[in-house]
Amino acid sequence: RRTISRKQRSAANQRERRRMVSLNTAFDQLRTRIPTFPHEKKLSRIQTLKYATEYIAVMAELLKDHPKSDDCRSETESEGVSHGNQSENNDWRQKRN
Amino acid sequence: KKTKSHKNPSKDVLRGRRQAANARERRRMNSLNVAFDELRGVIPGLSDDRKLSKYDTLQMAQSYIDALKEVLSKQESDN
Repeated sequence: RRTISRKQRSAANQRERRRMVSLNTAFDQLRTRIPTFPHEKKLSRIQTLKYATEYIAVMAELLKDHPKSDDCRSETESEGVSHGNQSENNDWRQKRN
Repeated sequence: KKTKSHKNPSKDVLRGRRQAANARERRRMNSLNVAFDELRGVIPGLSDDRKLSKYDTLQMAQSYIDALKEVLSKQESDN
């Protein structure tokens, strides 16, 4: 049986609101790092999480397959990844499913 | 014949609706939490038993994306 005063409840509500505000700000900051289509609606929280995961996974894989080297004679055409163009911006979403 | 369509739902009906809404919300929250875990899975963070908080996960993901982008762009300019 919990006995909380009105004041305590109100203070707790305030703390929770502030916590949510800071969490949502963090979501916003993450959203700005995820490439999206020009007139797309702002990503929902769930979308932000899923796309961020996917995006990071794609980039990490890119790094793995094409490690930095002075010479860059490592595997080239096998993956069919094109270097030197930034069009990967939104293509990464079509990559899986 | 007149039916009392959509007026005065019984207490049972109301309770059922609340329960259904609660269940939907639980499922929604659960899917969100699963997504958080999956994000934790691709970023550097603490171990399984002491995982990153939601806030830290979001912050870390953002810095990690920035870092990856920088490494990748350096990589492209080296090639």
